[in-house]
Amino acid sequence: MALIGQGALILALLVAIYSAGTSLWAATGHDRRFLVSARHGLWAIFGLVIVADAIFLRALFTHDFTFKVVSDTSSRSLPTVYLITAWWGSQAGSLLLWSTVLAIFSLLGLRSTRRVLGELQPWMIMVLSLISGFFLLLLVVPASPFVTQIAPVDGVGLNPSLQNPYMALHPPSLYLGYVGLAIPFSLAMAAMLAGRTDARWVVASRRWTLASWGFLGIGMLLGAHWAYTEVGWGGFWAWDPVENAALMPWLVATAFLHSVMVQERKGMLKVWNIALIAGAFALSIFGTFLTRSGILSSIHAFVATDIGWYFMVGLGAVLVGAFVLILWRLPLLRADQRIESLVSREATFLFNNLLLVGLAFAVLWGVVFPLLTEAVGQVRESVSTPFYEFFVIAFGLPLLLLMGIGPLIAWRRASFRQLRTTFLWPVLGGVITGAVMVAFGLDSSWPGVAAGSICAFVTVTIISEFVRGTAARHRVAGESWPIAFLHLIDRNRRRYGGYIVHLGVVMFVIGAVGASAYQTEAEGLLQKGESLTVGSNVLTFEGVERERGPNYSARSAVLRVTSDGEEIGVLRPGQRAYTREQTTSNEVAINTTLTQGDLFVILDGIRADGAVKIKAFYKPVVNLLWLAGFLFAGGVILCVWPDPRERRRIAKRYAEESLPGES
Amino acid sequence: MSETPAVAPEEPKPGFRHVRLVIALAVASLLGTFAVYTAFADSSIPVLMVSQAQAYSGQKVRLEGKVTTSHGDAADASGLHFVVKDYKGSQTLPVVYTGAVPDAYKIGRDVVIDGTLKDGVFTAVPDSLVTKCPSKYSDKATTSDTKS
Repeated sequence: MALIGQGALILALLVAIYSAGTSLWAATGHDRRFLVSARHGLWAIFGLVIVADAIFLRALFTHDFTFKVVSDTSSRSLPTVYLITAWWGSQAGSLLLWSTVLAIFSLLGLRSTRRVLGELQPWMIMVLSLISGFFLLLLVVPASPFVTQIAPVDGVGLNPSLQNPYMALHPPSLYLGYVGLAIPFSLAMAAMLAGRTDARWVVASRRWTLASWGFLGIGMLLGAHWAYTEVGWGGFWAWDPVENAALMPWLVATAFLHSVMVQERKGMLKVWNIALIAGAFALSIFGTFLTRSGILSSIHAFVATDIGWYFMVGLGAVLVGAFVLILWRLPLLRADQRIESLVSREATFLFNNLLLVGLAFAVLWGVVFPLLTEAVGQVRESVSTPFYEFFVIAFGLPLLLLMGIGPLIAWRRASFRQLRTTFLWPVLGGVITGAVMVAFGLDSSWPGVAAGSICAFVTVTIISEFVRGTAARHRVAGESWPIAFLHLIDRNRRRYGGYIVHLGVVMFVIGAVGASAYQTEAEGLLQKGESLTVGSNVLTFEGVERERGPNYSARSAVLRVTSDGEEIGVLRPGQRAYTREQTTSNEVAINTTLTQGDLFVILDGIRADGAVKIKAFYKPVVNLLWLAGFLFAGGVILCVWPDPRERRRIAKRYAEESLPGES
Repeated sequence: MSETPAVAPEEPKPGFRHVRLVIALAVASLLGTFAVYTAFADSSIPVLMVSQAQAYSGQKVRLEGKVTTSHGDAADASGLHFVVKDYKGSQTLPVVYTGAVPDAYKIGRDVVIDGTLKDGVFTAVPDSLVTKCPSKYSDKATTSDTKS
């Protein structure tokens, strides 16, 4: 079976090379029939990868330990559900998943853009085949999932941290995001190769970029929630390089999503957009590379692995390819118009882009800093949370402010008088919120007060946009308020979907600020009957409970919680000792109240004399962090949802204006 | 990604020159933030193998190694006492640690701790212990280091 699997992958690699060749032949004006053949090639890759998937999954599910990867990532006792997560538990398995998703997305991507961008198809097929070929090469040579061995009696088992429901959703969601960026990237490269540098590729790639960006965002949020509830050190984001790996392409894709609006509308920022999407895609490959190559533990360990070099070459090809294409097409990438005023929508987009890319660069710097210092000197130097927090505050707050300003400023040029009326209420909202925060003693953190005021400012601008639009419809079309509101959103899904995402970001920021700047923390060693105070909560230790699970024994501290004399309930933070795996795991106890926030309790240890070491956090409004995910996802879905009206509008516009180079 | 946005074709109008100046200033101030931060903030920490630690005695460093023996309780005031061994060499260092102990901590595991070496004993910063991904398993899809 392994031979068939390996054969399917080798064949798929050959087909990818064939498709790249034939599509190039067709694209350079030779026989167009080769285009059909190249397209069939993508179907063949899809079929062959599915065959490889089937063989791989069958081996996993039948515990066929002659497959090395299977014995490395699963065992007979592993619950069936987690055999699925074992798919991406290994390097070879996750690269196979990459290739599978890419094969599906390639076909969907071509289909969705065929009507508008028929002339780009051959180039797009070529770029996609090359990307496919790269990942298939990795699967065939350095990371084959079909390496066989003499079967051991049982497998090693799956890393316990992957044995978690979150790990069934979080990695695939990130992969969908990473791979999805291949579609706008291939469209951008195709547009340049074909010399069609107008905004059509931008319009056609919009939904793909948005969806990938949405998957990356949701994937990161799931990871954060996993860290918060399961890993349990009291935070949700540790600035770990592998977390940053997803954040960097997300930030650059965020910049891209905004700057393409400028190109669509004004024909500006063409070079910038292509650089951004190439950067985002390169970072998504870099992200896969970071988590897969072992470069994180040491640059020397990386030198010893082959796969690292493959990734370096692949990454280099993307960057150099994009750079050369931009240089070659520079004359075609001239801006149609220029920025006329600093007080204009396009200028705010530009500043938003600079800040987002600056932030992405800061994160990248933090990630590669240990590698650079190790390569240059003898000793690795590492940066930690304060470094990242500084840049998140320094670049994030102005970014947040722009989120409130941008939507209200007119394109081209805005007058100051107009600005005064537009921004009166939002500014008032921000100032009042800031004053209230200070009055309530929240000036312990000035970045916190600033973030709170800016969040209020942004919220008022967004709500006023909804109110103004609804009122206009109510007045002009005579619709009732609720109908006017729904129609308003339905007729301008991109705009109002965007606002909903912005509201989600505001909610996220409030939650994150509450959980970090305004959390209270207390720890103590408690004897029976003693108590610990955190915020307004008093935790009284009543005794230790013991429990025996199927494969672990657990001890937990029973803590009675009161707040202002009122009884809230009992929390049982505990520790589980897994007998067979010889590991312990912390089971944090979280008391969530929707209006108040979370009381988060960790049991750090139980002493021989029965005293317990307890660490407790009180995190106000942290729930907003997770609820923000729903607004974010809802807004993205609203923006991505097929809109026949929009399609007709675009078709009409294209019919009227001719393509560059056509008369 | 290094090029700035293409907003500047030739012959700028007077008003436009002003726009370009402000954009250039914005880029410069972003870069300036970097420069100021790296100059003034003590932002980085050396990451050392056990064999390199002696040379950094008295300095705050991050130490990596494999746990060989372990006794005591991190919840106690006297702390958890363990010994870390170099990945490659045979050098070892005793460590005293208090605070949270990660789930995956045990003898034989690769760990990372922040702290200072003084008189041959590495005194760890409380709560800084992190376990590295156990080598028994392949690299995880998500996090290589998990905080406790």
